[in-house]
Amino acid sequence: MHRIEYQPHAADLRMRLEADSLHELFQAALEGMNGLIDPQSRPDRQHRQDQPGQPARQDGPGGQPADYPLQEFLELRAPDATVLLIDFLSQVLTLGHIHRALFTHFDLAELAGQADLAELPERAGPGDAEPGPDRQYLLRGTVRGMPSETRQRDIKAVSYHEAEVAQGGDGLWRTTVVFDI
Amino acid sequence: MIPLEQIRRIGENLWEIPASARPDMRVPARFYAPEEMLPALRQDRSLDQLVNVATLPGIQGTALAMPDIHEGYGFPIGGVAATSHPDGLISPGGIGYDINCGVRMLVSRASFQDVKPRLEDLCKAMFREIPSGTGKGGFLDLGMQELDRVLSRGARWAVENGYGEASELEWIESGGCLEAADPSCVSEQAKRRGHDQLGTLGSGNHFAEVDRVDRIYDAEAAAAFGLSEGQVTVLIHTGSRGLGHQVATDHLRIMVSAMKGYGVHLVDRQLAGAPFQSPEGQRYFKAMAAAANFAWCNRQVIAHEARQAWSRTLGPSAGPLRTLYDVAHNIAKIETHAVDGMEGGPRRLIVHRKGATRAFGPGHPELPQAYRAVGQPVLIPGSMGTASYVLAGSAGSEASFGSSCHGAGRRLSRKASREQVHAERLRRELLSRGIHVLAGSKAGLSEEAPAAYKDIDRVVETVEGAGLARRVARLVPMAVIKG
Repeated sequence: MHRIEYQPHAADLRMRLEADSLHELFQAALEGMNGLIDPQSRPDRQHRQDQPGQPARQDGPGGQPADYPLQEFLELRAPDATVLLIDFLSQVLTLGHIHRALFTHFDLAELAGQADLAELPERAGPGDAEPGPDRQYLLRGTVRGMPSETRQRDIKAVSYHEAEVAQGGDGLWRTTVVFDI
Repeated sequence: MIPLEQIRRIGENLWEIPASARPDMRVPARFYAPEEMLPALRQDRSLDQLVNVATLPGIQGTALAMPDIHEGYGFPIGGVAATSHPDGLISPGGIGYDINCGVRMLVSRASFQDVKPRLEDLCKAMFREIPSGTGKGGFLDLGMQELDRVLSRGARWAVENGYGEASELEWIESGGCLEAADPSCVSEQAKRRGHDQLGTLGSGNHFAEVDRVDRIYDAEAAAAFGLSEGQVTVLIHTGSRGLGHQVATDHLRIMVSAMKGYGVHLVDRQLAGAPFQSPEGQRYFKAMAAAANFAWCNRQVIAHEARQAWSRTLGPSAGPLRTLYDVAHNIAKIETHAVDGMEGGPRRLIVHRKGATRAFGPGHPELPQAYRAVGQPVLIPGSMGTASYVLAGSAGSEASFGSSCHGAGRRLSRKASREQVHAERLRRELLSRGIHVLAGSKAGLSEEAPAAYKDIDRVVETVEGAGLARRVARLVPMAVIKG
């Protein structure tokens, strides 16, 4: 379960996210960002896009998507969950710009916080960043999407401003994300 | 919200939040604003953001904001902060994602009467010639080696490849090229985002506009700039496109992780920075310079595209479009300024301008000889349907590290603007006033409506009253193209 709320901002765009797990928060963030870029990508809109008499869009046999020809593997490390989430959105945004695509699906392989990363090899991440001793959160997974020229909104970047991934007393995970447009 | 009792007036339109207002402030925070704007300013987070800027390690003098201040992310828009050089912090958030977003102004020998009969055609021609819109590429698709030359040479690359004349580089801030640029500090992803975006406007609040000079305020400066009443001009507002956005993203990510190692702890990650002399600080500065060069080259190519539209529509009798000046309003520069309250005379500083324009006063050696007596042209675009201004930097801009405002500043959120402004009605209303608008997006049109912005007349009056820059000419729009 997750919730996405778009909130006003003077010059840019802000969304407030809520989810019942950290993984789900990442899914919500992706969905929320894509919903700003192309409102037709929102799940409620996609359902209505299905043609009468045709089956709803589904993954193909074996769980592999038939309709999402683009796939990119991500491996990100960050000092905390907040930075990890923002870096995740940034990287998906970048890939979308480069490939002129919308990456709407995220298959998580690993989301590790406070994990023992001593065994894992250090590699330079996106932006040619040098790995450092503080990278304690890890995300690995694959984003899937398809070419898309129908961008309603050009998001320049995902900012760290106001972002704070935290789990409340009710067990729900929340954060705000502010985009530069 | 900053309590009212913590804001005190120290000048006619100058306010200060003292450093004692919060324990982590290293310097006071000052902002220029007419009193009537104060209630609105306290409603959004712009003043809180300004106070956050005052906590930056190495910040000198005061954290400043111009009267077009509004809430941003990290720094407020309209923010200026100077850190000590070479040992202070450099903060990508103090420049923004759209590195060297700025304005180019072209001037013609044509009058409004000359152009008026062909205005609609000119608008359509510019919309055709200048690619605009979300994620749109342009007519140039560069290989990586050629792109590296753009990043190194800035506007000079455009001139060398037939997009303009070498003589116009003099009229661009920093000659259209920061020598510190190093393309190897720009990531492959940034280059893949920008390789086909040279000569494109983008979307959002970027535009190209045909204006006419409506009023002259300062005859001497207008003569130096070559401006006269009724003259037709062109404004181009855009920046470094996806390449610059990615440079900022890449290096901010690096700084967020690296800053703890330098003992830098900040209240907002978006303010993340590193010491200027550190490897991270140097790589960012060189990448920022490269992205700034891309933006100047971009505006040079767009100027060429505007000239194509101009000559094809109006013919040779309309004469050429000459560059008056080109300014950056999202950038960090190494400059020499006196610091208020500090002895020892002027010193080298890293001046961060995020939504603020350089406004050097008369006599500054960096200005072209033809402008040196009157001060630097400061180009202040308004919104569609409202005025834009050409100012001249004044000696008093030393109080703001040689800075002035950059526009009108937003007062409505994009959502509120879309809810309150109907795009087609706005287009018709502007047309009824003789302003042709071609925009790629209806939502974009509503969001950029005049009602979404502050009163530009009051903003520039405030700047003039503060002695930062003075009005030279007022421009009114005749044709606007947007993505």
